[in-house]
Amino acid sequence: MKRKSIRLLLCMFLGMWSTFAFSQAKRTITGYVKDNTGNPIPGVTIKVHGTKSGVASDGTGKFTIQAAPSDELQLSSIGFQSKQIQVGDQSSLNIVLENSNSSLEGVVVTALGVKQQKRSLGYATTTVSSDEITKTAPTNFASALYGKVPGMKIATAPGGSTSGVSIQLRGLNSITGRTQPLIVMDGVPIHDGDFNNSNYWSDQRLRGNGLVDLNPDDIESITVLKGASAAALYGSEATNGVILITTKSGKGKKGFTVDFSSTYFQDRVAYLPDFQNVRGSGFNPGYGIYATDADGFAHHTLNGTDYRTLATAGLSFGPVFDGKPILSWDGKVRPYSAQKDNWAALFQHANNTVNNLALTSISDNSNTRFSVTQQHYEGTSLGSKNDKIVLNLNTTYKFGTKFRINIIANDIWQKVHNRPYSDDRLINNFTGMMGAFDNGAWYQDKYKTSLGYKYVTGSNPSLTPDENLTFGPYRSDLLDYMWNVKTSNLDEYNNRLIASTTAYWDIVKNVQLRGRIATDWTSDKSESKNASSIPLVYGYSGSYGIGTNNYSILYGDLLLTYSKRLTDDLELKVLGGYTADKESSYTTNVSTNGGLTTENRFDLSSSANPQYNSSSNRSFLTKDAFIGTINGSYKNYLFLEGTVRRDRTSTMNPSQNSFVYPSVNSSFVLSDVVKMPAFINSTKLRASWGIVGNYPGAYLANVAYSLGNLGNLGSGSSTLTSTVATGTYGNDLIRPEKKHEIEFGLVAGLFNNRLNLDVAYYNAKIVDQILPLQLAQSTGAGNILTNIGTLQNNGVDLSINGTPVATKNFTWETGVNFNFNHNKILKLTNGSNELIKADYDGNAAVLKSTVGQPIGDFYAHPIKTDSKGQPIVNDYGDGTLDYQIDATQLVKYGNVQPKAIGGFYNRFEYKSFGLEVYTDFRFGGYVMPTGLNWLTGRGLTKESLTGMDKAHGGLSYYLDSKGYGVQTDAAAGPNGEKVYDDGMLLKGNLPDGTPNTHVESQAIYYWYVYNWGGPQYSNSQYFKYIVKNSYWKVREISLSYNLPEKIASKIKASRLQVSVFGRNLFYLYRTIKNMDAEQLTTGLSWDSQVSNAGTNFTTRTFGASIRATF
Amino acid sequence: MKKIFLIIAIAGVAGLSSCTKKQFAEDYPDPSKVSSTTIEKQYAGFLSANLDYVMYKYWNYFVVLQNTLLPWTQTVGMINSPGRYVPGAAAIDARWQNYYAFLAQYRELVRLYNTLSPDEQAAKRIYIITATIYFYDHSEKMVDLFGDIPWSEAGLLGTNQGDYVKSAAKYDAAADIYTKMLDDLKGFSDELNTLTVSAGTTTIMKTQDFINHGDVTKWKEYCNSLRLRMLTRVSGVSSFQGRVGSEIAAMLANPTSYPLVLTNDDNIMVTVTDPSTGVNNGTNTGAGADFHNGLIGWGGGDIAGKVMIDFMNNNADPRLRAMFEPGTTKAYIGLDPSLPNTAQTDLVSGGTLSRYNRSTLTQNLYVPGMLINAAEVNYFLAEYYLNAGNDALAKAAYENGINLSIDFYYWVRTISNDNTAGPLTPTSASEKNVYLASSGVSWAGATTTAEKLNRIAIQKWINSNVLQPVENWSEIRRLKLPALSFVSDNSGLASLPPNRWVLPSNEITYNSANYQAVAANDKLSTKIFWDVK
Repeated sequence: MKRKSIRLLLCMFLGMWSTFAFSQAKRTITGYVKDNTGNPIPGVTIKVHGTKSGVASDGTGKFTIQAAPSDELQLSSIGFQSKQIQVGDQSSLNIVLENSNSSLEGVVVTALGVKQQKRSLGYATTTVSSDEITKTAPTNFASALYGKVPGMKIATAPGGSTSGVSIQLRGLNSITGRTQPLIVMDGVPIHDGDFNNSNYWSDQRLRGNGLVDLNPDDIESITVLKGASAAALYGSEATNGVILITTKSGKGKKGFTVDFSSTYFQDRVAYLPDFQNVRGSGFNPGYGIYATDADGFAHHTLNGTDYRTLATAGLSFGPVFDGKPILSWDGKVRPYSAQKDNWAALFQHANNTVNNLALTSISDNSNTRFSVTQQHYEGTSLGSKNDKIVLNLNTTYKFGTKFRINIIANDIWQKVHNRPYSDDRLINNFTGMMGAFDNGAWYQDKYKTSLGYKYVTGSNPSLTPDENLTFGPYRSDLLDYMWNVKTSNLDEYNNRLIASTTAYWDIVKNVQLRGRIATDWTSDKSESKNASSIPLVYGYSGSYGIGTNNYSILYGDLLLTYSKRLTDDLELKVLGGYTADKESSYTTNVSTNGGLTTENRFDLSSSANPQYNSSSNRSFLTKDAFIGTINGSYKNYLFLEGTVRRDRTSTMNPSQNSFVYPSVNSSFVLSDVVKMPAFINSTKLRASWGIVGNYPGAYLANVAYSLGNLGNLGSGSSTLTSTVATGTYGNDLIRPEKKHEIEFGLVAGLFNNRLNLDVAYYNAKIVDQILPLQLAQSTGAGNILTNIGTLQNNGVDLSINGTPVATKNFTWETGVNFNFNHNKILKLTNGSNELIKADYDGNAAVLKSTVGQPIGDFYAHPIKTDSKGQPIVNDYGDGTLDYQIDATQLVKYGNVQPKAIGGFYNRFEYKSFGLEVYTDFRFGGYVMPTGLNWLTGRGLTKESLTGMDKAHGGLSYYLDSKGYGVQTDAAAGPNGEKVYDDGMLLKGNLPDGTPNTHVESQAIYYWYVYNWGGPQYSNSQYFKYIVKNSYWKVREISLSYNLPEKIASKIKASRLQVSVFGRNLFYLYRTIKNMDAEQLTTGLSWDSQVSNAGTNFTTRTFGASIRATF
Repeated sequence: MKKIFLIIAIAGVAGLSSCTKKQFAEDYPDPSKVSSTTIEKQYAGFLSANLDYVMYKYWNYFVVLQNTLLPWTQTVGMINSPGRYVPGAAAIDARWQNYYAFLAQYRELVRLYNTLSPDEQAAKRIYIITATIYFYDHSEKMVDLFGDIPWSEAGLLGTNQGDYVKSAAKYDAAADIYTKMLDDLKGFSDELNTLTVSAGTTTIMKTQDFINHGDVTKWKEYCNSLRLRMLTRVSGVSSFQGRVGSEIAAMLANPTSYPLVLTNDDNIMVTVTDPSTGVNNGTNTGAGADFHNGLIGWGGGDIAGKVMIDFMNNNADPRLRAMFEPGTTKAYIGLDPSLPNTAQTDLVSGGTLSRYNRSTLTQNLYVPGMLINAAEVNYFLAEYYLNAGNDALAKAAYENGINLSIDFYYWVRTISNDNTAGPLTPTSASEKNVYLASSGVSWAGATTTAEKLNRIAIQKWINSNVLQPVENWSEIRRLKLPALSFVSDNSGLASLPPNRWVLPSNEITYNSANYQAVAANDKLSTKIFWDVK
């Protein structure tokens, strides 16, 4: 309904435009382009301003183009400065293009929205333009930045448009805390928030962070400030760098234009594990793990007929598929064959559309762009969808010559229906892992009874006892999963307004005052309706809940700028300012208590208990800062800048909440001073130093009591309780974290600027790291907020791009960037030389950081060896054996941080066709996708087939009277024992020092090796779970075609482009085969990106779009 | 001109900043928390800190007990699934984490108390004594589960003002913890007789002490009964045997000064006055009730064990219909632990097996959180008299215990909010007498001391069933009675139920220096020091 009306609106706009565009007469213009030595320049692109279609100069520099007298021609070519020419009455033009220092020319937006010349910057920045962000229609801007910014590591959580994205610049700046950069949109710090999807039990739905709300279609450019000096003016919020987003303003357009784009794409679950397709659930019957016949099947009598069925087994080492009839757990008789593609019914194909319409009007006094974007996204999680309408207004109005006001407003209206449900139980729990003879479709069939209640197992009470699931290896967690995704509904309505008003006043010549007031305001409403799962006669079930959240940032700043040319050579600029920021958050939640008194009647009045569950939360934060900068420039080739910021925050003890952050940077355009060889067009050197910082979050430093009320327990008055917060202990004396960073850089343009190089070396030291240090519970708290130590990051950002081929019809642009980061912990103050971040599965593996080493070493227990250095084979005494894990030792098996990350892209243009291929890579860095290994341990992956029979390398053996396997070549054992051929021999010595000669089933081997738990629980070899995660992935491919002007003009368009694209397409190289390298992303922090493979599967995307300008 | 604008600008900036100055101090503390507390509030906070393991809550039964103590005591039917004798990390962590959070609340109470003047301390001494009794009750359970634990130096992070290096706690030997607790409780049992509690304190405690509502006599009974339980527990340890005999004798010799929990009215338990208060068994009713859901677990976790059901059937136990519900054939049948896995699963699916009574127990939101009951105390006394050679008193205590236990289960049913199981036929004195005379129960029918001890153990086991799982497991380990047999599990580290729980990885990882001292004994097979049979 809603979508329909929007489409209607779009059509009306389009119709309106086709009637009165372009009435002015055009004629043919001929021109010649030459360089300043008089040589013709081929391959120059000539366009009429405001359109995208153009022509190119030929080998003699000649071109012809259709243009009206009022049109402006834009000429651009690699290695030359762009030029604009008014057509006027001329019909023949002679144009000279100047050589350009493209890597040094132009302006960039820097801290606080101040525009600076590229050449003056003493620190590294990277700017990404709108084209590169929207080419393949990513659902958020950050996911478009893979491999495009040197030193930026992106990790998108799987799930879809509502799942969060983690960004990390130049390595890890915090041992356990937040590493997300500050995001500033049009000068306003926006609310980004945190997300963590790793704990299934605390929240089954996948959450996101604030950046995913921002509409990529409205973004003009993104500038990334990586180093401390670049970000110094953001002080205590800039430890992790800053991302500056500039939204589209209509700049560079003329008059009145309309842009329209429409995109469709589909996501499909991809990169599933490599499942086996040869056997069902069960186990080698010789071991008696499950009660089965000698052939591995169990039996069940249904309606008087005895059928063979599979054992009620969680392990899939059962009988090989034979195609003969079998009764499956859902009560149907089928051929016993692999259920190919049995995962398909667990997910949906996600269909997505994005439509954007932008109106721009430029006049002498005003400049306005208004856009409306409609987005419909779906998740691959069944029933999950997300609809958004984004309105964006950016207008500047000049009042006379000295005063102008810029108003920017983004209104994001969003509805999320059933945000993706975590797949956790399917990957991380044995009772959720589906075997090869099982099918998601059967679960779709059986998750509820014919009366609509939740499935019932065994003899548990049911109104439909005949439908109870009573036999066979059904996976209860999958039934629950299906029940939950199908009958638990969560609707979230979210309205977010990011708006700012900025006034500029040129008070007198050289003095400008800028004031800004802005807000990022969010209103969320959520409603949950969970269906009644049991009939009323057995009790109340189901629930209804409603919640609201209001979050607002009120931001203001005032900047006074004074610039003065002191002499012909020396220019000075001084800036002073103040910023203040007030954040508040109010949350309330109410839900039914004890189930619904009327089945599926979703309202609080259905609550079984009259006292509803309710909670509320308030949070306030105040911060401000004084800012000063001084810039000097000498002869426009030597630049020096100094900045200082004094911060205050309410999150720290009021007696010590104020801190100062200084920085200096300098830039020197060497090529303007020293004569360079001819092939070097420009060279610039940079140097900078700065300090930025980080505060604890609101209230984390408090040492306080929570106050409770147990109610009236019989005495007539309420029992009051107060308890100190024992989960976390605060710290009133916490100091701010500070990052000191120096950076040196070189920028060079070579071969007529066809090859550009930018390299930066940085060295950052973060002192007084703030983190919630995990403690033994026996100290009295789970963790404590503390300043823990010093961390260092040093490394190199390198980017090289160039245009190897530029001819009239064909251009090839390519570029590569790398970041090599070395991270090291210099000091810890916890009385130990190590810091433990996570303990997995009962001390099976530990993630810790050690002084002198990078953050994040995976440790696990090795196999115990005897005095001869032989692995010790543990004998359980029942015929099963495994390698003895050494409980006393923890050995390092890898570090989580990659050695290098980067991207490599190629863009080809042939006539009206464009092809872009973006790839990105990561080398090194270890992860532990535990759940995938459990799939192997359960006999579900192809890997677990090794040794299953002779063809797979299995040994032949029979089981002796004590259950031990004895290797044999005979057809039967000496006493007629059955011979199995799925044997494996563990090489090593038994505890008594003799070599092991007992053969055992490969099923025992896989089960024991890839089991759950530390040495207290099993001899699982967790060190095998720790694997290197290197990859080179083709992230985006897009193929576009600009329709000839003749065709475009038929719908009155000046430009019409169609494109097809794909995202997250395939790997050129990867070390982990059973998943997408990014599937492990469950949250913002680095440690929530290394081990959990069970939130959602990642997807592969294909789509098409059309873009038109009128 | 220029100057004027500058002045305006600077004044504007200054104005903005000065108005936020106060805001920084205001926004520092969390509005939902308080910065100080009182002894009285902290006392209630401490008492309530471990309610999840006193009341019958989902997490304790679903995560902690259904895979550990309940099957290992055969108080529920056990499905022979692989790995069933290895306690899960989630179970261990949950129990451990709750105990140390609870312990930290106790330390905080003591820290607050120590800041008071001597006069105030004297006036509030009752809070510390009663809190310590409650603390020791639960510390005993932890020692019985784990053996050596961090104790005397544990939970001091707040006292040490956040110095976490100093707060890493050493392990105390289990026997030393018992000794310290027994010494202190002995002291309290005397001190409570001389302590004067002001009327004002009594009034406040009526509300804040939701266990005994400030009733000092009940605290005396709790203290002495706890001593009796602990002394009995260590009665096999030679180094304790001297004090065991003398201290129990001293208590029994002077019942006025050392009262015990001897009638059901004396029972020390946390009463649910209204499920909507903070002291409850959850608020869900019917099949959704916390206890019911947690016990059922993945399905069938509330099914009775064969040994217990057979015993109750054979001797016409009046509690059978109160504690259990029959299966579809209207007979009381327990799950045979010796059957193979699939046969068991089929039986459970078949619906013929008996389950814990929903109306008396699992869906009864008013089951009181049991701390010490009169039946249990009588069984300890019976054992004491039996060993002391006083058969008549032993018999009296034994039979008292049985009658009290029967009365208790019928009484629990009367306070139930649930009638799913249908009306309960009342019991009678004659039915009880028949039971007392039955072949498996009759005191006279037991001809040897060992057999008499076995009958006491069986009754204690039935009385404790799923309501007091930790005590039950400890007593079964101590006495090796009732003698339960288990099918061995060939798939994991333990082929039979273990002797203790292993320590949580939280300790191995974050308290590793102190853990080294106990690492060698951190095995499932290590026996708790009182486990000497």
